[in-house]
Amino acid sequence: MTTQLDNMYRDLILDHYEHPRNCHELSNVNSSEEGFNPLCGDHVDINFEQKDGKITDISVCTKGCAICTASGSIMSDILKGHSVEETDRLVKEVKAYLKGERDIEISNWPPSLQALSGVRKFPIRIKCALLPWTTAELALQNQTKQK
Amino acid sequence: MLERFRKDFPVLENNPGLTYLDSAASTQKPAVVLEKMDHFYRFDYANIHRGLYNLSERATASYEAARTRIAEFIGTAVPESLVFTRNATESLNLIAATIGEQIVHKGDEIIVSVMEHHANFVPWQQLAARKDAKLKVVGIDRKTLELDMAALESAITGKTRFVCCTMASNVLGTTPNVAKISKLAKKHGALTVFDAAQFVPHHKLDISTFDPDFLVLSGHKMLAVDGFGVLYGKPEHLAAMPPYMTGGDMIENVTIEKTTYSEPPQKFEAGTPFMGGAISLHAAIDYLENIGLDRIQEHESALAKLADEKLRAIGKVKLYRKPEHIHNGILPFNIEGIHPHDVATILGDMDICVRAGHHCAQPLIHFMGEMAMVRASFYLYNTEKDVDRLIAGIQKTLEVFHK
Repeated sequence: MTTQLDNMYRDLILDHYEHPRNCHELSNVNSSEEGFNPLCGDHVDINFEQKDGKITDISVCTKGCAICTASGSIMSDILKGHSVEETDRLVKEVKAYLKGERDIEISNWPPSLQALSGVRKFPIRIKCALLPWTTAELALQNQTKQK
Repeated sequence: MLERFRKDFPVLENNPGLTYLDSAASTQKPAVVLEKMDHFYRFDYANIHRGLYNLSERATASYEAARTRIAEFIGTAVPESLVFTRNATESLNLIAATIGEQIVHKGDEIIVSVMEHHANFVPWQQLAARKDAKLKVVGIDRKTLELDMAALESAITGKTRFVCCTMASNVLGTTPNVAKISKLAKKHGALTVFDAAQFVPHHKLDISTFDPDFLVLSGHKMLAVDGFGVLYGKPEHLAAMPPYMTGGDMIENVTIEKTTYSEPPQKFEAGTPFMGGAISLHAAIDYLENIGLDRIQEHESALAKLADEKLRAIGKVKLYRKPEHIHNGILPFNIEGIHPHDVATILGDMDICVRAGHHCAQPLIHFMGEMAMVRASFYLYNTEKDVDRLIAGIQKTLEVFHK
């Protein structure tokens, strides 16, 4: 097995796949979105609960591969407690990084988020990692529109 | 057994260590197919059907010789009943858009099986929606994976215009009894449309034994190049059908006021066709028949059964076909707790090519209660070594996921 593959399927990723965090009912849903990956059938369901411009709770439920599920689970851990503005900025930054659109310094990212970097060597799988993030972005846009 | 033919395939020769188990998606091409095409473009190429010179006559003769050879191969003595298309998908869309538009009306029914490739599902679903007709979907037996013939019998009525069914499922390898389907459809005055794309590479086809109204296939799944497909239609249907596309090569007479069309098959072959594709399929059929489809079927089935046996021995692998039902090289499976895309990524990293996902057959995958499957498909150029490498790959996958 190549080290690139090792790097993608790290234990941290596999742990988030086996035990995805934050798939639960929210008492108040302020914005939500469903995302599909038509090529492989990955499906993610994202709900945000917000108060005073902050993400107070988040639910991410994924049916899909290890990369998509782990990516959604990691995201759910990270976004909680952030302001909506910060969240939007981070989501855009992670997307740009995964797509390799520009150089982004990731050493200050939380370790779990850094663990997603291994996917960049597998172009076909980048979309698996992206799905939760693009879906979250759409959910936040829906919320903006509702205002 | 057929190992000596492996060296005929340049892609396999040029990629030593490659285990290619995705022939159900597309087959590799033997050198002779590529050489025959190359020769055609180097020695005999010109536009067909209109040049009044020897070269064009030779090109036309090569193109039409392919039609005659393919007709003979599928079991019809009427080459004009074959229309050349880009692929099976285009062939199916052509049927739905021409005779489908003509004969399906409000309240009519179209029957498809749940195991259709999207190519033989979506055109009918869309036609039914346009016409306010009903799409009836016939299921399969989840244990035997065979088409539920009793369900088909109760679904078919006097309002059924088409019965559309695969001859070999690209996911399960199931080969429905087309003679029975054809007989049942005739009894109710329905037309049959058989998708033989996955059948012809592995099984002997003789349409004279079941008399279909329409049948389609794709060259690239049977050693020919990609971009060339075939539509068989009964001559009386082709004669009555309107053209699918209009333009050059399909007209009889054009005036400013109106146009009359050529006879079939030219009526359905507007524009300069893919001549090289026809030449390649001609060569591919010669190659396949030289080996013998019986031997090919026997060889690939033996490999699929061997892989099945070894995968069962590992445990943790869910196999959908019972060994006794395996009679071609298609082997769908899943590993408990590991998504098919992760399986295929790890295998791919070891240069083992399998397909993972919904295989362009989402209704079937959902019917089977899955989100996706892994499919290994064996063909004439695979060997027992490929089986061993697949097994090693699966073991590695389990290791990566700590299973």
